[in-house]
Amino acid sequence: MRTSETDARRILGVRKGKGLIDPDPRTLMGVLVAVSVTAFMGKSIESELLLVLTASVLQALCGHVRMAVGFAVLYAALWAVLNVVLPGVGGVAATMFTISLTFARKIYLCLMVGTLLVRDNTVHRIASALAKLRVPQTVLIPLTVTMRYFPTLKEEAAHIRDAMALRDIPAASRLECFAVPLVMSATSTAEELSRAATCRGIENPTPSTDTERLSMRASDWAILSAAAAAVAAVALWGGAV
Amino acid sequence: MSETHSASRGLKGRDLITVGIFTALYFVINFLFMLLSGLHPYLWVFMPAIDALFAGIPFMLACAKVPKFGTVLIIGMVPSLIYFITGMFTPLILGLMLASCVVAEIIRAATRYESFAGNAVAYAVFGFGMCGSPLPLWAFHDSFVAQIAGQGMGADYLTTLETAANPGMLVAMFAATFVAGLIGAYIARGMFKKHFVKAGLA
Repeated sequence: MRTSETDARRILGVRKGKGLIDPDPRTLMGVLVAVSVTAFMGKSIESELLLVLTASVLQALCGHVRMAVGFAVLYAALWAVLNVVLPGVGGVAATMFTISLTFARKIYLCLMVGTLLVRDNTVHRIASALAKLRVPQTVLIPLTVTMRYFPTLKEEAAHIRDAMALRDIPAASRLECFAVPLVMSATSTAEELSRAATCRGIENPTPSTDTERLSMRASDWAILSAAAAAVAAVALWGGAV
Repeated sequence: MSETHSASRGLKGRDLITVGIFTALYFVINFLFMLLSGLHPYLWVFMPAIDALFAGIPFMLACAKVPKFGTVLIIGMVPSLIYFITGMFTPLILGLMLASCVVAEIIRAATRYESFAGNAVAYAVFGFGMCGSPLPLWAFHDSFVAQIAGQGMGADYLTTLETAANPGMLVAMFAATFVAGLIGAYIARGMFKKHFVKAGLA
């Protein structure tokens, strides 16, 4: 445990805000729904640009200034590639990348808000936000197990790759030689983890307590209503394309 | 490792964790092909099929280890939630995934969770869930064409796009996904017989 967390004055579950505003994960999920709705509505380039800038301002206000600048620059690069480079170059590259990059431009706002949500919150915070949204525990427990297992999986895969590099394995059976040990280790991890979790009382039927303090504040409602207003504005005056 | 399947029908804590681990394996396979599908429109259209071909092992193993109602729903909904949280446009994936998971659960329930054929068909149906990823090509066809034309792509590219996004391809996508799902289940059974049964896993 870090020293800042053992500080006597620290209130359990309250985190240090990095930015000017500190939105609840539920707020960002609401914004995510709003931008998903607008993704395939017709938008003029002006309104699209305005929305991207608004989203990057939101990122900056949450304290992620580098992320905000990065996304704005990336959007300019994406626009340039789609409008100047690909029509100019043509050929195979254009056939290959036009659809996926067009799709990326359409869902750009979703990517911006999603990145903010994941970077701004821990897995635990997102899980407690989902629990407050009444997502059942039967989905939340596997969700957190899945998210937390990824680093272990990466480590395990690296070990297997190392072991395979030591031996001369024909290319045809590479996949099998990689998949089988990985599944074996995953199975034993599942066994160990469920024993440990049973010891910690996962099968206790009463709802567990949580140190995470989530509350919707005035700024959260302001962000949500701004997002709803933006959806209405895009639907009414978004312009063509 | 002798698995003691408790008589209770509901999912218990340990079942949830087991399914969560195999869902992670499924998600990684799924995500790799999702990234690959950005390379070419046809690769995107047939991504669900390729995915179904390779993701059979975690799915079938999870079904074998947790033969209860809800396993498939979790394997489907957890990746959809992760895709939603990370902002990869998902309303279509979420909807289609939920529908195909429910159908797959009904098939598993009807075959009493233990039969290979039942689980294989359930897996093939489950594969339809990922068809939600390329589905915007058809669902928002006009919006795509308008923007691509607005970006200044030539007319011959637009005709290529028309052939990739016509209704015939939509049918081909679903058919290929279903067949690939059955083949993927067979591949998984081969692996089971060769390795996992001997090791006492399945």
